[in-house]
Amino acid sequence: MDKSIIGANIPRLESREKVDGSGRYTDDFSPAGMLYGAVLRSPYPHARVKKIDAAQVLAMPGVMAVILPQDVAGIRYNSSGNPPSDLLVDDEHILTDHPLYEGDAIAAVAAQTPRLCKEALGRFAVEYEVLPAALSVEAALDPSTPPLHPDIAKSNDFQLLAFDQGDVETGLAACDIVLEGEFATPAVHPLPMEPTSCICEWRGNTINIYATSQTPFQERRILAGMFGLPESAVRIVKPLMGGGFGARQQLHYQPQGCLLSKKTGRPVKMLLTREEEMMATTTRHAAKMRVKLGAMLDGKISAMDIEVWHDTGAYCTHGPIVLSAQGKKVQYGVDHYRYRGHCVYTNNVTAGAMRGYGNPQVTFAREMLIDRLARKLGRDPLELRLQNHLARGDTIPGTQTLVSSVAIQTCVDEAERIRKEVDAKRAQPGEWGVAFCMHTSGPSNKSGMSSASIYLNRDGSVQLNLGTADIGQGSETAMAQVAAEVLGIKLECVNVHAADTASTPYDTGTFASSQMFVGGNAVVLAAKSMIKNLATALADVRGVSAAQVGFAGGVFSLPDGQCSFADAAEQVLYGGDNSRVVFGEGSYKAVEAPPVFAVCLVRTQRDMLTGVLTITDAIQTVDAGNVINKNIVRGQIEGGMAQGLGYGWMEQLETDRRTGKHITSDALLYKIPTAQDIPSLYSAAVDSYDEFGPLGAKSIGELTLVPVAAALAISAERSCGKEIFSLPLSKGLLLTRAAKEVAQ
Amino acid sequence: MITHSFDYTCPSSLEQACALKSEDSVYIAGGTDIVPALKYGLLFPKLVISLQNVPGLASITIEGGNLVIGAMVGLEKLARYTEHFPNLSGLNHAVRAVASPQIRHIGTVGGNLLQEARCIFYNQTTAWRRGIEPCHKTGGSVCHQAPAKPQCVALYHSDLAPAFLAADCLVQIYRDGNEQQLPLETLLAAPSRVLGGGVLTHIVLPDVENLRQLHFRKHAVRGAIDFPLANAALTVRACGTVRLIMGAMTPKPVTLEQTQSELADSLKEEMPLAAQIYQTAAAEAKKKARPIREATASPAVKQQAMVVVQEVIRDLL
Repeated sequence: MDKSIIGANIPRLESREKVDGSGRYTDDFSPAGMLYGAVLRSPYPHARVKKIDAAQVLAMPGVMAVILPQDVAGIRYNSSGNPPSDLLVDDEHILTDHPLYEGDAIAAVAAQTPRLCKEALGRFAVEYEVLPAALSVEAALDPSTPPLHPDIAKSNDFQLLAFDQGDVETGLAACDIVLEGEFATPAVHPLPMEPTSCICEWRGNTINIYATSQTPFQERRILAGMFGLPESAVRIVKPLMGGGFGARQQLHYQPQGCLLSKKTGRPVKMLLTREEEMMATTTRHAAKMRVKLGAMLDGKISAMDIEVWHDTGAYCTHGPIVLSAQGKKVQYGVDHYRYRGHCVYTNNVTAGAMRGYGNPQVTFAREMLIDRLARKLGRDPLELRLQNHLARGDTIPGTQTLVSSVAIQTCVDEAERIRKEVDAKRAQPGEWGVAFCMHTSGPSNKSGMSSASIYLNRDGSVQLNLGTADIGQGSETAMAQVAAEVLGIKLECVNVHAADTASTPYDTGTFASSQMFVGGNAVVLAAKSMIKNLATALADVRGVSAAQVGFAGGVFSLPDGQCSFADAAEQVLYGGDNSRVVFGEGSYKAVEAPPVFAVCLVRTQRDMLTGVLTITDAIQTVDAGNVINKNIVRGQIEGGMAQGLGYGWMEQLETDRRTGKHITSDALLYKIPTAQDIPSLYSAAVDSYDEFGPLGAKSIGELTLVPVAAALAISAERSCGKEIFSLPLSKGLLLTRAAKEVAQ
Repeated sequence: MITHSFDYTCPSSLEQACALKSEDSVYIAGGTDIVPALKYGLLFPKLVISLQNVPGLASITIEGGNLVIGAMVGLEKLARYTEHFPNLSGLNHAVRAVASPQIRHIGTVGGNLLQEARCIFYNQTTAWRRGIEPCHKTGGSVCHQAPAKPQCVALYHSDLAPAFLAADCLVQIYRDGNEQQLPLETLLAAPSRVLGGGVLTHIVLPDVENLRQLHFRKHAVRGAIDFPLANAALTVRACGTVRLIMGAMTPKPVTLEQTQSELADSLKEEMPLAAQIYQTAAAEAKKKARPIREATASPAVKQQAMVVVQEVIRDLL
């Protein structure tokens, strides 16, 4: 491999334009004649709209159109950007007269300015009947609570996901030690910097959309179905994106935007406020978990019993698939495994996809118990986990997923090396919390599919067309590196065009840590196809047989000498009678979803007078396969640690039980860590190679967040000597500060 | 977005500023408290009067042994100034504890002291508040924090106030052509009544040389941006006076008299602090606190945050 391309510290292709401000996000586009759209939202978590009158709104000069629930009454859909699945329930409305959460969409308005839109929302005359709201899983499961969607399910506990291996009851009964606990994690929001936005233009029988979108091809499929159009009539373009983290793995307000555009005949821009972002987009599921762990005195963990209740909010969206993914993320070789996941409707903000997709919740509960087991047995927590860890060739409990590569020992060795360095620097005593986790590369059900096409230019540079959506994680850069490596050309000779349903080929979507593994494999195939097609064309032009043309290191070999990639391109394009245009194409359907692994250590120290905990250091080492881009991987690890610390420490969407109001409605009230809050971070991606990966790479996107909250909570539990059962720590009576704040 | 329309003016003297002030107008300094309130539809002034062109309000001087801080002095400027005075380190900590670097570059000392009390049910947008009955502050008669209480129980979150109160600061107020000096405590007790349309012009920290120690501690959920869950300031003067103030736990900062007097006694006898003093402080703080729910913090979590009182005592040299 060319070390100047693969594994190098290559800056992201789009970094400069992001920094100098010339990059264009959705809100930077303003097609001629554009209007603004806004959504009237329920101020109550559960209500019925008895009467709605838009006369005053329509009388406002500059208001161009209004749509009401009765205009869209027949349409039900599921907004999730997953490929079609029987698990996904069609329970959403474009607009509703029976709002099921605070923020549910009741009406929409298009006007000439954002200010007019805001004023218009205040002039709808709406009469509500306020109904009792189920604001927790417990309340939703109470027999006296009516089902939220009686036409879909008689109970709010509407889907059960199950995975089994061995016999967990017998397994637990045979164990020397059984530990159990009931754990809880909160709903959290990823808070992408760029608000959710779209511009929709319905012209004639076609729709053009610019949107913050992780899954343009799935969204196209849903919209085309919704409006009875062929998919070819719907074009979705994803401009630069300021984050997604899963929250944009679905439709948001494109349906409303499209209908407003249809009604006005003009493009309509929908740009959410931060308040709407917090209340009316999607969150990570709040979870209640009952976990049992059975082990022998020698440390062998032989049985694991996990039952989870997820608060999916008012609508299904991703709910059951999150549970399905969650049940398949155990990296310990237990003989007996039982997973039960309940998807529960409540009147809370709708939950959807968010980095980790169910994994952070259970990893927290499971790792807490494993740490307690280590203490009970007097074992080193790293070593106990290593003893039970899956090896290459094993399958993941409850699944058929193969462990095709695992470098966990190297991850531990590297983490230990860093820990010793940190300990040598710290004067005060502290406690380390350890957590392990695994994730997959691409969806764990192996539904990942991606494709790429490559067009060859005369000078040997190429146009690489990808369906994958770079949402800020850097996948376009990584894909360009893979193409350059396989084609043997310079990185600057690859131009990437991506995530435009009219001009790039299909991709399942940006989710499930897919892009490097699934998208990367498609690029490898496309590049190989390009080489093959170019070699054939070159043979024709030069009058030799295709078998006589070889290719290695960017150079074609022919019977009469060698020929660079660029020379070959020139000869083929302008080579006389036999000249032609050369394409490469690749379609990759996942055959495996190779697991990736992380070891995370977080250190806290406790003030003996005040009890205040200080978070001083966090280490994470990962096995993500062969690293394609060191910068991107480091960014993912550090970003994952920051987001994971927030999850463990301070983040939670809060609803006031008395008023039913969503309290954490802006970025002041909802707490994500600031730069001041991040302790010293140390990260490493260890040497690893996966045979199924493109150039040996696996994934990195979600993995790095998953173990962090667990490691933090374990460290806190060790520091305080008090068992912790719920996140975030700041909600409990544990005062915590970051080292930087204390240092001031 | 501010949808409400208003006029905006920048008078160039205190006389002009006061002449423009009426029930329908507000003064604006840095705007970091007022502008969000306008965006959230909490204020509907017809006129916004900026004090930025009024001369003489943005300097820090020492006059007759007193430190005189203009109300329009930027927080960042005060932070830089106080870096040079070891006995004002706590004031420096207090200023640096406010919000974020961006806000400290535009926010002012006067604005920080005159900030509105805050509440999770009040500091929300108009659309958000449509789902609840109006409260005492929005034209209604209920407190969503404490429905049984006949008045608003919102808390005051200034980080500067405890430090200034502990330092016995006075405030200078311009009204009707006169400049008057009052204890800061008096102003904070009823800001709009005390100001009566006048302008807070200066904060006077008396006898700086005599101030031996000034310590400040804050606990917030995050290390930046956040308002305090609790804060505390402690001063020791050469004459032996000790002042201990706790903030963010009550509608106005409170003085922990018993603790400060026990501390003064210990310091007089030049004895090392007895462990008992921390318990006294914790008990007195708990007795005087009136915590309400804040984002991510229940009243019980706020109670915990009162460890700042113990921390500030431990900071004593």
